[in-house]
Formats: sequence, C-alpha cells, structure tokens
Amino acid sequence: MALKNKQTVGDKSEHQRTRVYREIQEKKEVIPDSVFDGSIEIRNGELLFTPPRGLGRFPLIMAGENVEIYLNGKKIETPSFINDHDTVEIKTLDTAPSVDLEISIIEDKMKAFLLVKKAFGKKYALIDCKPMQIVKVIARCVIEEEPAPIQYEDVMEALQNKGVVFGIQKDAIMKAVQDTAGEFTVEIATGLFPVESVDASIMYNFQDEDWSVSARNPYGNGKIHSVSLGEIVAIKRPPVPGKPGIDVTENPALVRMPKDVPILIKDGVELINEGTVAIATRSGKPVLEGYSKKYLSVRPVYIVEGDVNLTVGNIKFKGDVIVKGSVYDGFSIEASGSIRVLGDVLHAALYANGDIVVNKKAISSRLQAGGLAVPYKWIYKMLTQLLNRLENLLAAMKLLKAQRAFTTGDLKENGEGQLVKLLIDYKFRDIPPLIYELIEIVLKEENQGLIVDLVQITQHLSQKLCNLGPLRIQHQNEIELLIQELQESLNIVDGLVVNAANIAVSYLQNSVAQANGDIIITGKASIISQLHAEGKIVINSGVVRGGHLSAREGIKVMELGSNKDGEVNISLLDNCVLEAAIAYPGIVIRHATDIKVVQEHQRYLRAQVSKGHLIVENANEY
Amino acid sequence: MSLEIERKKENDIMILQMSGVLDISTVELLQNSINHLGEIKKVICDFENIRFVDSTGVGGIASVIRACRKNEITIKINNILPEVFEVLDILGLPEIFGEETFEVKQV
Repeated sequence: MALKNKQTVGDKSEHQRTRVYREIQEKKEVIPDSVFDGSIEIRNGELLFTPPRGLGRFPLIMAGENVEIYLNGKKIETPSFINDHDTVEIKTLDTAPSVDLEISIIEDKMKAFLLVKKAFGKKYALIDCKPMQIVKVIARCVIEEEPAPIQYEDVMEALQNKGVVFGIQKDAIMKAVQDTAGEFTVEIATGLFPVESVDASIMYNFQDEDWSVSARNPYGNGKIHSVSLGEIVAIKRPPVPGKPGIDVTENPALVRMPKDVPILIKDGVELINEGTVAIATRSGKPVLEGYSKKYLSVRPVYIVEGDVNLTVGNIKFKGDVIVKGSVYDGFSIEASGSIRVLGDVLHAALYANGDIVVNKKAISSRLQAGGLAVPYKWIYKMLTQLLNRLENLLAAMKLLKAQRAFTTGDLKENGEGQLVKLLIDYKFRDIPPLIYELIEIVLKEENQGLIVDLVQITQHLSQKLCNLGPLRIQHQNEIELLIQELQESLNIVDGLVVNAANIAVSYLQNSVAQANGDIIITGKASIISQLHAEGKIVINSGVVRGGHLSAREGIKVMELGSNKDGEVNISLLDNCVLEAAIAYPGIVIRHATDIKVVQEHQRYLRAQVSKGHLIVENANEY
Repeated sequence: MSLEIERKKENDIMILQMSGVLDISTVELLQNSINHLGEIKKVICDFENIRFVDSTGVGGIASVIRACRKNEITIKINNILPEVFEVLDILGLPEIFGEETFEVKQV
C-alpha cells in the first residue's frame, strides 16, 4: 500500500505556521529590507510550507526517488512552485510482495517452462529535509515484506490455464516450490519426442571423382576403378518412417513422411531386390552422370596394356579407354567416356566426352574433353524455361476462362488459339524468342551429333507458338500435349548432360587442350600451349611460358611468363579472375575489346572482369 | 448483346461513354469510334458500363490503344469494373501499355 501524505498548505496547523513566522520575524530584525524567499520543509513525514515575504520567491518542489507528488490533484513531472492555496499530496511508491508464475511453451509445443518472478514488498518513508526554497522530496525503504511461498497447486493451475497437461515434471514443480531465488526458470513439462523419419539414401561402392576436391592429384595413385559383371555397384537404404510423439498439450507431434530416392540407372546396370541393389551387367567403369538427376551406369572399358602405336592403331570406343603405356606419333583415341593414359601423349590426339587424364607429358598433341556436354546444358536450361512458361500460359488460359466477366463465345466459334495468341502477344512475349534460340542451338553445325532428336519438338513448338501458329490451335489440350512433349524431352536431356569434363596432365608443350570443365596442370609447366577451359585453369605449382590461356571461371598460375620466352596471352571470359604468384612483363590480358599489358615484374598479379570491364592491377593500356 | 458508344467532345478531348458487351459482335464499333478524330489530342474510354469482354474484345482494346498512340493521341480507359480489369490484367495489357492507361473503378 502506498503511503499517502496529504498536506494542504492552506490548512497547515496554525502552530506550525506561527512557529515558522516567528522565526522569520526574528530573522527580519537582522535583515533590513524584509524580503524572504518562501520555503518547504519535510519533518517527520510532514510537509511544512512557509510563504515568501515582500519580493521573496515562492518555493519549488519536485519528486525524487520513490515518490510521486500531486499538486492540486495533478501529478507533477518538473519542479513546481507552490503557494498557500495549493493542495500538495505526496505519495510514496510502496509495493506489495508478489509472486508471478508464467508458463511459456516453445514453438513445437514439446517443452513448457515455468518462469517465477518473486518480489519483496516495500514501504517507504519520506526523508526529512530542512527548510529550503527548492526541495526534492525523497523516500527511503523502511519495511521489506517477504513474498508468500509458491504453492504446488498454484503451479498446476497455471499449467492448466495454458493447456499443459502432458509430461508435467512433478520434481521440477517441487524444486520451484522450494527455490528461494528471486527470479528463475525451470523446465516444467516435456513432451514425448517423435522419432524422426530417415530418408532413403544411396551408397555407391565407388568414388565418383570430385575434381574440385582432388585437384592436387586428380588421377589418384594410378589405380583404375572398375567393376566386374554381377558386382554390386550401389545399395539403397530404404526410407524409414518415424514415430509420432505427444506434445505438452497432449496433441500428437507428427513426423514428416520420409523421402524415397530411387536408384536411377542407365546402360550396364540392373536393379534387383525391389530396386534396392544395383549390379553391373557388364564389366567396366561405374559412373554417375546427369544434370539434376544422377544416373548410374557402367561404361565399358577398353584397356590397352601397352602403347598405342602401329600395332594397336587408332582407337574409337563407346566407353572409357585406358592406355597403360603411351600414345605415340600420329595416333588418336576417341572415346564416348573418359580417356586415361598412364604414360605420355606424343604428337597424338585424344578426344573424350568425359575426362582426359595424362599421367605424364603431352607434347605437340591435342586433348579435347567434353564433347556435346555444353550444348546439352544449354538445351536443358532452355527446355526448363520453356516448360515453365508454357505451364504458366496454360494456367492463365484456365484462369481467364473461369473469369465472370470473360465470355468465350468467340473461342467456341474460332478456336482457343485466339486466346493463346493474345497471351503470347502480351503476357508471354518471351516464348517465341526462346523457341528461336532453342532452334538455333539444335541446328548448329557443331551440334549435329546430338543424341536426342530435338528437331521434332522444336518444330512443334515453332508451328504452334510462333508467328500466326497459335491461331491454328483449336483447344487448350494442344498446349497440354506440348507441355507433355517438352517434359519428355527434358527428361531425356537431363540424363545426357554429363558432368563437366576435365583435363589433367602433368606437363604440356606445344599442345592444345580444350575442356568444358577444368584444365589442371599437375606438374611443372605449360610451354607454348593453347589452353581453353569452360571452367578453371589451375597450374598451382608450375609455370606458363608462352601460349594462350582462356577460361570462364578462373585462372590460377604459380608463375606466368618469363624474361626470355615469347609473350603469354590470357583471355578472361565472363567474370573470370586471373591470379598469378609471379608475373613477368609482356603478359597480354584481354576481355572482349579490353586489352591490357603487364609492364613490370610483379610478385602478385590479379586481373578480373567487373561489370563488363577488365581490371588489372598495375597494368598499362595496350 | 450490344454495345452503345456515346461520343462527347470537350475541346481537344474525346470521351467515349460505352455500355454493353465488348465482344466479337461489337468490337468493330469500338474500332470505328476512333476513326476521324481530327484535332483530338486525348481519348477517354469510360468503361463503367462494360460488364463482359471476350478475347476478341480485348484484342480490340489493344488495337485501339496502339492506333491512338500511333497518331500521338493519349488514350485512357477509365472506370473499369474490377472483374473486367482482372481479365485485362491476366492477359498482360497493363504490363505492356502501362498501368496508368487503365483506371479501375473504385467500388
């Protein structure tokens, strides 16, 4: 309870006022001009007021700690004058002892907590102060009252009010009852936790080469991974459904359904045991291929035990080729999979759709990895985009036909193509350019070897959706069929987008290396060679003397150029970054029409393309 | 189903007060209404009483907007009922011709 100390200045006892006046009168005798400031005094919890005399000032009052002051019924926030007619009420901010019990439940309702806040009650008394013209009224605590102990039943009631009925921990309640701390939190109820579902997973019994991880030694220790007929290539762990639990409000805590992942297979693999085990149906190299989905296959492997020379001849093989010796003058190897040469490649050519690894050196040779992976990647992206746009167009058609204000008499009369045309003319204007771009890629001369026949789908798309084609559409079913056809093509292309094909070679001289992935020189140098990578070029511990390097993602070289050899040309494509630990003068760096030349020997050279402009630290314009 | 178009001229502004249905049978009226505009600098089509459109009607609206712009005449379509605007919006007309060309009637 707050202590109320109400004083009406005007009603002050005559005794008090008289006594104050008498003091003033006494002082008056020594002060000749009879001017006195008014004053306020707090004595024994009472406020005593003395009015000013003559031109003296009225006293000021303000509230200090633990006090509120009401002047004529209005709470004052700032120092205020008082005079004889004012009513001053001083309230001390007494508090009663309290115990707050608060129950909180976490978001998933699996746990509830009890927050206890205990507060001692406090009673205050005004502190005396001598008569002053400005007075700050302060109160100090004189009595502290202990809060009542927590009752077990109070906690149970609080839990019930919050709907907590399951997993209540009685021990925790007892602990809370006995705890003397002012504020504490205790876990008061715990639900029965569900057992989470486990998604299906696939374990492959071979290591899929990850070039980004194994760049230091991408051809491993010379071991060639292969599987024999009937060997297990992959095992699937089936999904395991979880068990639901119960939350603290006694509602079931549901678990999500586990995801199932099928083993996707292509050539050379068969599934047994209800699709949970994949076995090789031929001997060869197990590989995972695909863009968004990974398909497992076993590629046939052709192994040349010695060198590729006159006794072996040129090799063309649908699968992987492994040469345990070297490839010599004038011979070539073409493989639909990867090529691995444990020896040298001298005046020879290697063409692979997959990776090319040469353990030793390649001199005056051509190495080309990747084949049609790049166009497949583009086609996949475009088909996905087109599929998405067509699905949206179909949805818009359906939505329009359901509109109250939209009549369809003309569509019934002339066919629904009119609506398709309207949508393509305004909302889906990007569809025809996408189709034209797709046609251009499919018909490119260098893409003639595409395995999937995409000509038919591009023809259908063009006939129905370009120029006046939409007007020939009679019903939206035709759009649905196009969508279906696109989806089928997309599924096929998805399986054909091979992983980036990389080249790894120890030493390169007077050679050409092209890869749709990365090119990694694992040994000492690249000498007067042409390197083009759609990914990165990495020569971490070697030098580049002469030649031309171009890459789309990055070029990292230990030493670039030299004082004696011919110039090194670098082309940075897209947002490629070049980094060289040491760079010699005369290096020419290009991006589109920007050309810059390194003029001085540099310890660290960095060049990059930023917002379409070539930026080279410490280089001059060409 | 019919369409009535009342033409009002205020200085160099032509107001086309339209009521009825804008569809395959009436779209020609709309297209004809902007012929021979002479010195007109602005056309306002009041759509308050257009309650239904079909795809031919929407095509007609688009061709009228294009024709006006070709002749450097500002065109605005006002008081469009929300359900009619919904149709125009799904077809992407505001996106192409600018949101400011179409004014929805406040209900």
